[in-house]
Amino acid sequence: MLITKAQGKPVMDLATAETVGTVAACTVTPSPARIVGLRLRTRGRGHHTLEWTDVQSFGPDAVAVEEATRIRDEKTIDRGDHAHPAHDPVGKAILTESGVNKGTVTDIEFDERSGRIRQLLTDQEQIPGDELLGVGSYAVVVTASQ
Amino acid sequence: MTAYMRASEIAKKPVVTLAGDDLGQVKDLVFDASTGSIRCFTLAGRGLLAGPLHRALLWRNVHALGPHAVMVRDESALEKDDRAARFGATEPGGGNVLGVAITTRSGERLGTVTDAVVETGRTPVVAGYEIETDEHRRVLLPVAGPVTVSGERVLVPDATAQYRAGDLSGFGTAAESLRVRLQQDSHEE
Repeated sequence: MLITKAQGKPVMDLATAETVGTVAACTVTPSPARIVGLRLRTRGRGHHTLEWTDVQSFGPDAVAVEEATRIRDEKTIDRGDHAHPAHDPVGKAILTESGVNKGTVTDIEFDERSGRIRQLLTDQEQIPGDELLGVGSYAVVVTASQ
Repeated sequence: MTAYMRASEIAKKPVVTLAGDDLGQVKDLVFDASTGSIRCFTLAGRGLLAGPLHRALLWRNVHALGPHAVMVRDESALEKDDRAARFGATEPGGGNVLGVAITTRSGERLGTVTDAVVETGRTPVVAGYEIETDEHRRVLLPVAGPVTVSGERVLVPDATAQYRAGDLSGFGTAAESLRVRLQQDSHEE
């Protein structure tokens, strides 16, 4: 699935059958490249974050979560945490480890069961998930392919 | 393909960790007058109002030098302070090769150094110098073989004078030709 296609999907609480928010974006860690958090748009201000491990299922129409109490306010997450919004790759520049700019991440193709990232998409190319080295506040770093 | 850039172009480039965080941007380059290469970078914070960082980045701690960023492994690549940057200035001859004359071993003056040419990639090295000749022309001069540097002059092999490039796109060929030529010369001896 593409993250742009997942955006706007309702996140429903399995205990109450209520919608707790909608998918806005994701946070990513490397080795192996996978989605570790979903950033949600909730009622009111700010964003909330749901850990991927708390996602029960990622369906075609909605995301199911067992315990909605585990959803955290982004403001309470510190920078070192992999769920921090700094680890959201979409819109960031891609740099190779040798310092060459390869464009901007426009989308992420991921496996909706495991959260594994198949590829990072830019306007020009697709970069396989296993080339991902890091997602930080400034850029997405990938290995330099020869 | 090897890509080259002028050392002065490295200024303002972001310093980025492999985790994708920016630590700052390159403010200045500190040359090592005894080797003619770059000793370290001084850094500034990122953003309009950010001041100097007072933490030096040693040349050997650079993971890779690219056309768009200086890559480092992580924050520990930076020194705790900027003593490395100030160290050179107190040495005799100063800590700079800029403005120093380039002379061949047989005593022909080729010009003065105005910039360095750096080979980018995983093992960045100073591959040559931009010099201003006495006719006020800027040319790029590859360095290879025995090069001796002092605070007064950079001594290069005689053959160097024949290999120069007008711009960075021609520099790679000039550097390669000089390397081949110096190898042939050493075989003949």
